Amino acid sequence: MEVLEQPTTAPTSPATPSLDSFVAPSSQGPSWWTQLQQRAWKQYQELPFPARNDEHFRFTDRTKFKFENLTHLTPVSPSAQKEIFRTSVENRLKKQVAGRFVFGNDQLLYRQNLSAELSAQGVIWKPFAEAVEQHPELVQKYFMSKVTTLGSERFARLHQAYLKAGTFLYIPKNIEIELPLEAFHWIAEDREMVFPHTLIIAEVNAKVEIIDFFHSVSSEMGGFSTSICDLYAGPGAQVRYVATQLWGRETRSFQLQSITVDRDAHSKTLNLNMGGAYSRLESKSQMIGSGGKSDMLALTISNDKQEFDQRTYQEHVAPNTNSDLLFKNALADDSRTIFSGMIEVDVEAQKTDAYQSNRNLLLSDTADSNSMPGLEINANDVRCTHGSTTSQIDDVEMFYMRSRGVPLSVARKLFTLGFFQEVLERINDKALEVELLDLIDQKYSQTKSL
Amino acid sequence: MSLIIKDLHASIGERQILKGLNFEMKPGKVQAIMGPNGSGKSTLSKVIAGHPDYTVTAGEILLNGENILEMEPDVRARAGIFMAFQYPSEIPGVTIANFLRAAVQARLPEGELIDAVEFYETLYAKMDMLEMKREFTTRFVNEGFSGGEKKRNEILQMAMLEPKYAILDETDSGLDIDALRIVSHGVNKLKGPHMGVLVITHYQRLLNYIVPDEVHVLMNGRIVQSGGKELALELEEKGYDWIKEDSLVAA
Repeated sequence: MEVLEQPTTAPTSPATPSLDSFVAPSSQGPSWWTQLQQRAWKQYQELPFPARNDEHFRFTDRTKFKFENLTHLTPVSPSAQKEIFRTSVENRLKKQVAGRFVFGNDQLLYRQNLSAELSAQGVIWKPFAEAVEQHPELVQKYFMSKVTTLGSERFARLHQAYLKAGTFLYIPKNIEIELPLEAFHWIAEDREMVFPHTLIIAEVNAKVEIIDFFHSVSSEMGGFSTSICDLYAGPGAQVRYVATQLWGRETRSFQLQSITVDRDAHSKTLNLNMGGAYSRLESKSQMIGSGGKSDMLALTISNDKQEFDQRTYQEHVAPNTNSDLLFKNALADDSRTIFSGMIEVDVEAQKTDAYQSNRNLLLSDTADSNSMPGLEINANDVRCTHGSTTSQIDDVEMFYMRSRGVPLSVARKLFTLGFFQEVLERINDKALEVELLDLIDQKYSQTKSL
Repeated sequence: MSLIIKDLHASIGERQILKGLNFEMKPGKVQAIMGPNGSGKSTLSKVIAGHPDYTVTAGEILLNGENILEMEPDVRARAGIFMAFQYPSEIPGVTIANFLRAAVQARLPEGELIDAVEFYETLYAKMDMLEMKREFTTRFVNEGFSGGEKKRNEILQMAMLEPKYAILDETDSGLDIDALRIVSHGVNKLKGPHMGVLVITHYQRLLNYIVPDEVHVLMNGRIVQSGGKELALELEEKGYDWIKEDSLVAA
């Protein structure tokens, strides 16, 4: 496997990264759409690259920003297609879903459409390009109407300009979808770039669960991804969104999420972060209606020299709203994590109940976690708590487990899985938990310092 | 089959605690070691189990002729040694079922996977014996357990792992009479010709429930007196000072 990084590049000189690979993308579709994409391309070019002293990139190792020699829309080879089909479809026959899309290199490879019954109820689940053609009014109303403010505005515009692949989901009032919906996005070629999009609109009292999988055909693969998920939970809606990030080892990714929670709605998001060389997650929740609640959960499992850069924002706009964030990182080998979180309570947002917690478990002496929890409160009758902890494997517990015959490596793994359990429990879905634990297990089988 | 402790000297930090202890655990027997606070009871059990805080400065512990002091704690456990802790650890997020599964799995030959159905059948049978409810399996190890629940959980592990030599370190501490009865009942059911049980205790009370074949007195890092179960009653009546003087005379 070819090494993506040039060994001649001195890691101590983080010059402005070369973004040479990005050229004016082609755009297809109705004219309003192509114009929108062209405008986004222009905005991308005009926006500056984040300055070195930009607070949003504090602690970020910018030498990891390498975006040279990337390709887009490379046809997926038959052997890659086979692998993709095996993992995304054949191995999942037991799992019942309401719908599934599989994209490789931003091209739709497989689709399982909604049942006729759900379609008749007005649910829309379409590849994004089709939604642009068939549901322009909905796309125009919601598409990137909230843009991330956590540092990656430039990458958001790049995404908007390049966007071809993704899912569009609309659930009308009072419709509940029992089975989950799944979308797979594959990087199927080394150095390929992808721009997965997920737009979820849940109307009044709607209920749905959707899972995005980000995979590479080979675990060593390089590439680049900027994905965006926009989630709108209308009044009384219940939306659960899970993103499972398993990009190849040399991949750089920006994953931007914007969650809008209306009156009495409940959004629950879980990010399982495992892949990539540099993986940035920006997740923002806005509570715009009284009684709204956002649970923001993340599990990050880092090893080798991986870096996970996480920036979160909980904005309480309306009174009587609730947000509860729990990001847990287990760091092995020489890996790094960054957590920067902010709770903002607007003047109007009395009776806010907000919680923000970042917990780090260091599995080696050379792993490095950076945590910057933050609060900004402009109302006077609120309950906000935030905090971060960093801990290590507990020797007393290790001895206890070993005294039962459990080998040290297994004991360390059990301890680490136990550390994650609090997050998995809050997802409250046994089948999904088993699936996620299986993925975590695979990662730990390749971890040196465990 | 034998477990022989020879001239064991052990210290924690600078402090010498065991000072030439000799002892033999016997298969099929229940033996008790009694002693006052600070005599070295807990040190002995921890050194046998391989606790990293203790340094063995001299002597050996031979399991079937092999010195276990060279072995990692988990290797000792798989070789057949079990210690029920006085203060069992809490392991947040790890269920009893998963913990025991890992411990049973570790005893299978390389590449062989545990039979889940069989595992749960065995587990439930042992839990019934210890009057533990099924939902215990999904609770996190010792987290939020009462003193009695923790000790029952220790005995459950012993029941599942079927050690050759079981050491119960102050198992009666923190137990009310009901819990003591249940825990003792469990031990009595488990003991048999294939297992040696060593009960380490300060008080005679536990020995009313788990009746020992032999009683040994540990003082100042050494076994100073040995006898039958009546020795425990004598200690209960007269206290440890009586032995102290006796052993001084003997020395």
